[in-house]
Amino acid sequence: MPNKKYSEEELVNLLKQNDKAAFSYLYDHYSGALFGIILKIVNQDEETSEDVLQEVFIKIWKKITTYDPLKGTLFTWMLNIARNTAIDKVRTFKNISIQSIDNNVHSVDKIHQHKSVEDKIGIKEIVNKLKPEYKTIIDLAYFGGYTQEEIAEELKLPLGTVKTRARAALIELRKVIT
Amino acid sequence: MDIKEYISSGILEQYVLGTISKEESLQVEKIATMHTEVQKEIEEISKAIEQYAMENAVEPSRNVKTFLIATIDYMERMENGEAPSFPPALSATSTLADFASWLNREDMILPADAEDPYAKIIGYTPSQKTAIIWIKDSTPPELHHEEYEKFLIAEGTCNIIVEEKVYQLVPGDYFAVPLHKTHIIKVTSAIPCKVILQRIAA
Repeated sequence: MPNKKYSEEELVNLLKQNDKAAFSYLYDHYSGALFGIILKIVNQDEETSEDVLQEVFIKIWKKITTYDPLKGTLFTWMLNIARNTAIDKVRTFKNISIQSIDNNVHSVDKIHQHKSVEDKIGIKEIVNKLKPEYKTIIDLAYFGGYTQEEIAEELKLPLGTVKTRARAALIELRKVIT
Repeated sequence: MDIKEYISSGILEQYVLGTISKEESLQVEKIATMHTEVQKEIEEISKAIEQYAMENAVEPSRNVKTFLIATIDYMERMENGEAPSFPPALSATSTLADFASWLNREDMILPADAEDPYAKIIGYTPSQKTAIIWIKDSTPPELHHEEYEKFLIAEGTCNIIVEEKVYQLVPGDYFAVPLHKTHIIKVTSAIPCKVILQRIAA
């Protein structure tokens, strides 16, 4: 990951002026994080995930003028584009709304084992410090594009439990990364 | 309104992730302007989500960036009034002369600060994409299940390695990559290898 050379504000301003160097930086800095999420949703199909990643960055390039910093961070804005594009792709393509969550969780774990490029010291431990049920909820609810209702149904848990767990998982995550 | 209870309801997480309706979002924004704790909580949630995604990053192949940058360049050229052109289908009988009008264009050059590989799109239809690619060193491994990939070498020399087999190519040589086989290109010349690449939907 290159060193940070723009503040988020500078980056956004340059992107709004269609600055290609800023866009190249944006890609270098965030493509891995977005690709990780896309792979989870598209379920490990790399060729499709790469197409989705390209589509996502084209949307970012075209729509950056609509991004409003008061409504959220640049990353969460991009995350929503990535998640929605990936979900659309999966839905049109395979006509499945939800794949078996078990499969998905399994493949998410596989991706973590084999593909994660994060070998920075401590990163793995941080994520592994989370209880598995929290990790599952974070992956599904925050990145997998599943609604809390869908998760409740698939994991056979009461909706209230899913809501509580989703919240607790994030609090736990905040504790371990700060 | 009990703000602690509101914060712990889980709606802020859903707001940050964009999974609630527009009306609900507007309501969250209204409440956030009235209560700094809510605003602060939203910022913290956003940070945590970004951090988690960064920690689970998976690096995509370099090829994605090459074609992303090339696609944006092509879109801009079209927006600026360049007329679309339609290079012929590449085949074993293709020659460099068939592509001379694109190869000789003044804007079809490798910029000094270009990343490796670098591409310029010269033709784009849903079923056939054609580009000029400059490779200084090598391409990362690629595998296509849905597209046929064909090459015509324009300048420099390279080895195309398909699984274990090595094909040595010089200017004028044509090569078609079989579907479902991993392939890489390694440049063998001192100068960058300039290649016409065409992808056709399988």
